[in-house]
Amino acid sequence: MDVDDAIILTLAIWVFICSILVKTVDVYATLLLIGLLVVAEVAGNFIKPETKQRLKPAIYFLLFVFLGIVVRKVMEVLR
Amino acid sequence: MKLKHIAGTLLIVIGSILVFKGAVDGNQSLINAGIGGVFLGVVVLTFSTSDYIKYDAFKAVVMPYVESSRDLVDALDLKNSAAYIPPYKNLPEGGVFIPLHEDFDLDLAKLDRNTMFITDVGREKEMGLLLKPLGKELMRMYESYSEMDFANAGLYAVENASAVLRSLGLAKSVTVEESGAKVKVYVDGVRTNACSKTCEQTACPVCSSILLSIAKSLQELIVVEEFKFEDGFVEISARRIGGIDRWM
Repeated sequence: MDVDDAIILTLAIWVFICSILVKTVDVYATLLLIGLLVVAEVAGNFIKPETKQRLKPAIYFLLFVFLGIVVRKVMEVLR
Repeated sequence: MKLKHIAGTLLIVIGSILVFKGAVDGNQSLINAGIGGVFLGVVVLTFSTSDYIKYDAFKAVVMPYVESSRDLVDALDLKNSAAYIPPYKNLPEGGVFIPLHEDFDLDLAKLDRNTMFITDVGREKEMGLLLKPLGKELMRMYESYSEMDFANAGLYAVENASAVLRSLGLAKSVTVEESGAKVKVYVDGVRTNACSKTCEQTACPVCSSILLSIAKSLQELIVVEEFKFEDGFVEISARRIGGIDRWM
């Protein structure tokens, strides 16, 4: 098993655990973002540079979703 | 199509179906499972896009080219250490100049991409061989990884090479030290095993990329003084010899 496979397996386990324990989409999407960021940071030295570049759009997308969640929560509080 | 491509595509398709089914049925768990499937599919596809060959294949394919460039230098009886030229207008990828004489002179204005044997010059001190740096592609990877152009970025930018070389399995660490005009580079865990005394003229792509990165980050020509190597540890001593303007 190479590093790439270990990373995919780690994320798969994380997704599985989150799917079982979390019921709301907001928290679920945030946890996916956290998982991806942690993996990208911890295994960053072992991920090939091109792969790391290609992971960025996924991270930016999830960050955008997270921003949406935060804005929605702020609006809820302000109302 | 590779297995990872198929697995990634399948995960995205199944995930999308689950999200749709979950939305129709109002089942939150199914929607989450679907999003997870799509997420994993994207990750699997991301990790399946870059292809890397095995180390033995790399050695078999690349090393003969390194050897032939060394043979060329040997055949021309060039004994002096190479000078690494940072990229500039005439040589956008930089260059490696192996001079005929130790006390060499160089007119960068006369060089261009099509120059190789510099013999048609007035003074013998300017004669030598101009090669394209073997490490230019690796340097591009360092720049891409660190998301910066190394031009004038300073020596510390070069240490980004560590992460790239480690992830490619070519070396473990790169440390650069500067004291006055002298620059010392320590490369640990080099796997190419191609080091020899001729590295002072034509270094392997790994060492060449580091030296070219240093030249680019300082925007100065650097001349190699000494290569020491022992069990995968390489120590390179180099000296700054002035910027592009000085050699024009």
